[in-house]
Amino acid sequence: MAGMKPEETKQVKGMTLRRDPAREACFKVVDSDAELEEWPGMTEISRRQRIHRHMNNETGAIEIAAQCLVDFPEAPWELRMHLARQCWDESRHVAGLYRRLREIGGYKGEFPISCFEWCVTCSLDTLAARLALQNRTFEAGELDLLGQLPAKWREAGDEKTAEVLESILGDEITHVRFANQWLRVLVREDRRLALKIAMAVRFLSAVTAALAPQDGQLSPVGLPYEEPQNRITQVNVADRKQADFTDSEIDEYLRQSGFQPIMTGNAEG
Amino acid sequence: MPKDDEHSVSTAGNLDPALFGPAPARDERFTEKRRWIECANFPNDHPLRIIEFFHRQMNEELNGVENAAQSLADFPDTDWKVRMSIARQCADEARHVEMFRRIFESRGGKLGEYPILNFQYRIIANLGDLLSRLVVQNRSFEAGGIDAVSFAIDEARKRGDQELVDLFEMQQADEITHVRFANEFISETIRKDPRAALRVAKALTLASTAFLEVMGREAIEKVAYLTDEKGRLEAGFGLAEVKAATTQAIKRRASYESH
Amino acid sequence: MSLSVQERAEYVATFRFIQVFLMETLARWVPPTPEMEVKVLFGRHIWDLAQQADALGRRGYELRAPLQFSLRPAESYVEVLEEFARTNTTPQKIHGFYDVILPGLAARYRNYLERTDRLLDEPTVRVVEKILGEFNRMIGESEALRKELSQLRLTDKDWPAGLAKREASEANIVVRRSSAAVA
Ligand SMILES: [Fe+2]
Ligand SMILES: [Fe+2]
Ligand SMILES: [Fe+2]
Ligand SMILES: [Fe+2]
Repeated sequence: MAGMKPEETKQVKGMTLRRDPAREACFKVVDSDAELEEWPGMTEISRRQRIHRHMNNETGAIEIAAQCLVDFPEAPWELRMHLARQCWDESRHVAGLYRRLREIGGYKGEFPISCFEWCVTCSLDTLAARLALQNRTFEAGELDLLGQLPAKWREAGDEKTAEVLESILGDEITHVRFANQWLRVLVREDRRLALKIAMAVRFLSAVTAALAPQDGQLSPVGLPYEEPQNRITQVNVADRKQADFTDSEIDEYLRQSGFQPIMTGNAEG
Repeated sequence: MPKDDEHSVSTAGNLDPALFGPAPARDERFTEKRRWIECANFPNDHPLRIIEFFHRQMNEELNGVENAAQSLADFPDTDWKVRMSIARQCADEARHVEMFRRIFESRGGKLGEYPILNFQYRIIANLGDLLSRLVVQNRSFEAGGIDAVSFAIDEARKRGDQELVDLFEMQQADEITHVRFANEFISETIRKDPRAALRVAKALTLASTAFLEVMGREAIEKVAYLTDEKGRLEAGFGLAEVKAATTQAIKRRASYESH
Repeated sequence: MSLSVQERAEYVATFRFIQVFLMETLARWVPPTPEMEVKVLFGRHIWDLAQQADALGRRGYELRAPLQFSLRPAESYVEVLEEFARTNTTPQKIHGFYDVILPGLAARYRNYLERTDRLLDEPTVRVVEKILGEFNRMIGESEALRKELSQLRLTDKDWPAGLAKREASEANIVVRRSSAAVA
């Protein structure tokens, strides 16, 4: 996408994306979520992998918000304050998940990680488009996911992780909310941004399609990938409302939930 | 609330009970008077004039604390942002009390040495709604204060009294914020309910009648300053309002000078 | 002699510039810094610095400058900040930020507190004192992390000393403006 210097980019399956942010040597960084190790069920290794993956996604969320502060110094101060606040929230999410990961015997770098959301979002050259993808799409997807996950962890007898996830959900609502509120303002002030946002959503679909596993391909843990329609998360209507989605947007979203390429890579975070 | 005359208040000429509520409490060091004419009004060139002014102003600032505090207590359902501004005003006015006390005492004054007037509190706290109170206190008395302070800064500067210049400049910056939040609240209230403008007009009439009763024509016509246009604009007045205030001030001065 | 309202506004606006600059510096560092714990530390402090800038920006308005107004400090000081923002290694970032730049700014805040009239200018005093308390906490958090992760400790003692010398070389960082430039 326009605006990135060649040294800031990487090529993945014909797509030009923002190069990964730095990670410690202990981490193995892969390009797509399809290359992650996804263990089925709620076994011990699956639980560690889920938290490890979520922790890295939260790290990416700090990085995306921080990079928005760097790349858009002329954005309205109030909006920059929200982004700065988001950095803090995401940092606490990483710290909370890392603490929990260690408590259940996991460690940094135990599983491969992907910085997919960073690579896509930070390829975009307007703040509106980044908010539309990161906060309003990825994080809104996280609202839906976090609406259900605590019950799943409780069922598995892990009250502590359920509590961590619930506190994260509270913060995520505020991130989606400020993005919704500010996107309305930004688009009202500059209609051309609506096109930028539409292009961003198409870009995400194209990247998602390019990075999707091939038919018949097995996942890194040797299992077939779940069909996209089986991965659809139930829409978290109550929390989306709190995050300032309008009723018609939620309706539209519910209607479209059958395909949502956006949701296929619905990492926990 | 303390009853009127619980403490020492002059009995000369009772004030109209429809316009004035009870006085705020003061300890025995202070003697409250009802009217301007009963105060220690030194002539312009008298060395004690400025000292007495500090004392009088200190007490007016105390009225400012009392009014703002009373509004916080009386209108708990007001929008939180407005309540925050009023709470902040309490702190600012309290600081103004200390500022004037400091300069008063450092120049040889003793608390209670001069009579005081509590008309600001008695007029404002007597108004039954926040809109009316802010119209009178912030948008009228304090906005007038911005003009007065501008004039006083120039005067102090001419005398080479830098300490006083600093004090007034700081006070003026604070007062601008009080007038500003009130202006915002007032226009928002009228925007939501245009009939509220009637309450504004009524409050202003009540207040100016009451003010005249305390001050007497003599004191008001001695006002020597014009409007501080820049300060008023910063405080959220519209350009037309500022121009109108200036025209009024010019007329007032012209009529005073022709006497 | 104490400071005038305009001088106070200039100090506050200059401090705000620095706070925003430091907030952006940490933000700039988050993606290219490899250590997860350091990203977390910076992420927390981005919000501290932004809130501090915000409080100064609101105070400037009370001092009759525009809302959230910043003034660029003396050029030599800006050069020090800009050069520091290009720091590469994590130990240098951490030692430079928490041992040199924040304490240097804290000294400038304390100098302001000494110069201003604490009664007349009490709202600024409160903002600045709160910032100083938060700086202490932030520095403490960085020290705790350095204790936990020894690879973050800087062995080269000359580097922070050199930075400290450059940081302190400009005693007066506020550039006086005409009143129209501040109002
Ligand atoms: Fe998060
Ligand atoms: Fe988030
Ligand atoms: Fe006052
Ligand atoms: Fe006031």
